[in-house]
Amino acid sequence: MKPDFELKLQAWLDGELPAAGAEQARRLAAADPEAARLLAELQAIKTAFLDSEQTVTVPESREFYWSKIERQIQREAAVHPALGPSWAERFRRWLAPLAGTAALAAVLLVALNQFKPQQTAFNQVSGMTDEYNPRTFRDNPSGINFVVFQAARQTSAASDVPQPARIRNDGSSFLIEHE
Amino acid sequence: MPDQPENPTDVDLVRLAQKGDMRAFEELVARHRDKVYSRAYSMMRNEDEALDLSQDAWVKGWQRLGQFQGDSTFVTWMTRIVINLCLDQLRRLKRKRAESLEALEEEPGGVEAHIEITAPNPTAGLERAEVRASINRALAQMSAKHRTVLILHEFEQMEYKEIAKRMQCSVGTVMSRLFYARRHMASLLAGLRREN
Amino acid sequence: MSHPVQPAFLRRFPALCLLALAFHLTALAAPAADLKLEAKMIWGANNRPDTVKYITVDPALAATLRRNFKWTNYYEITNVAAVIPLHQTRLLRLSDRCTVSIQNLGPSLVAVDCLNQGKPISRGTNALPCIYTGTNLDDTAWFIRLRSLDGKSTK
Repeated sequence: MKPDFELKLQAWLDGELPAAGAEQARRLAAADPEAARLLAELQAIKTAFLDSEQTVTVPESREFYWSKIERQIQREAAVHPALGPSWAERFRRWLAPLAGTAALAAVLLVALNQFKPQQTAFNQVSGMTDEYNPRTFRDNPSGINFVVFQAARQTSAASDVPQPARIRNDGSSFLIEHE
Repeated sequence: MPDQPENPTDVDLVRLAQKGDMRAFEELVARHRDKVYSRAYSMMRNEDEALDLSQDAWVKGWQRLGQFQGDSTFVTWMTRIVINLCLDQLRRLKRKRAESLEALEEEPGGVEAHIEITAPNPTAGLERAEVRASINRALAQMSAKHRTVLILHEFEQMEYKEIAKRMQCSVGTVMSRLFYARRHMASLLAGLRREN
Repeated sequence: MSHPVQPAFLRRFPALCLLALAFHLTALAAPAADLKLEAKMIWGANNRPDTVKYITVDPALAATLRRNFKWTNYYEITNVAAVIPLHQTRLLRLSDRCTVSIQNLGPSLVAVDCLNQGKPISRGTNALPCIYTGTNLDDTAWFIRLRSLDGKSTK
């Protein structure tokens, strides 16, 4: 069987052929046993995929997963304030009056020579070597920002408490010496 | 949350989130995070990458919420975002492991000619859960581009043209990859059934 | 002829302007923002050693740590307070191995370098309060909590 015809059969099965091509494919499939077997195999795979997708659960708690998203949204908003939903609406409600006051304050700051560039990123941590790979998240109830030095996966069998996904025992250790 | 019904639908939450209500968006994340993560995992087959990409997708979803018009469901819209991010990532990744089949795949009558039609119905006799598990295992054994084309066509119901656009290749390439992927899947499923 | 009703934000505009101006002038008049910082080193463990006479951390902090990590008990090892002028850096020693270098970057923002036996292991900025953490070789954990003490007493 020619490859072009095989692809045509497939396209017919997928409803991607125009009417004329579909009719031609149907007639040829009826006349060729090998084509019929191929069609049956393709159809079986297509059918097997129906309702066959396995949904995988996120391996992190709701709070932990969300805290990283929220942090990234805030970080990017600090760099690109225009990003975000309905910026026009928020501008209309609140930023118009504040824009004027901010402009006035900026003039005063410059005039009094108090203006200094500040870091706007509020949580950026990087590891100094490949061994130390910090990950950050925010615990919303307490408002504390966590920086976790990354590690290979530990088993969580010993604990029911949600924990960051990856903690490594790799020597980033400030071992406490006891008496 | 102001003006929020007791059991908000996705439409209600999207409307609130579009006005800047981040708690509404957090609820959307909670409702659909598994689906979005699942799509990323099915494409990347790597938990860490899937986590990162799914979270990037949510961030992008927040940033582009104003563009969501309700033409599709919110979760479908989010799934499309994570798919694009996964495709970008796949393009960036350099595959060190040799994938010998890929050297033949684009030749007409190349690999396909080597796969005999072994079983007209490779899933015959399997329970639904077994089929699901077998497909998952078989997908894990495939190359990224064949897995992707199967996922986009079979799970995402995309047409050839849309797949071609997203994968940045021709419709003809999509057709041959899909054909090969299906034949390969049939062969893998038949093999898995023999093992069991 | 009747005047059209102004939208609410326009009616608020003059008052907001004056309020913001007063706020900014007040801020300008205040002295440079020294940071009163507390650095607390905490040890997390599941056992409760008899020979170690460390005090447990306050219940609220313990609850936060238990919510996010697997260890049951959290002990205060070291507590160091320092006043760091704006843009200045202070080195705080928290244990035999652990030193943190902290630069005051402005309101509740710090640059933190963590050093393990003098070797830097991370560098970055963070908003206060924050906690750095990692695992010890014996599967206990260390935590370094940094917070501003403005208006608070050292615990």
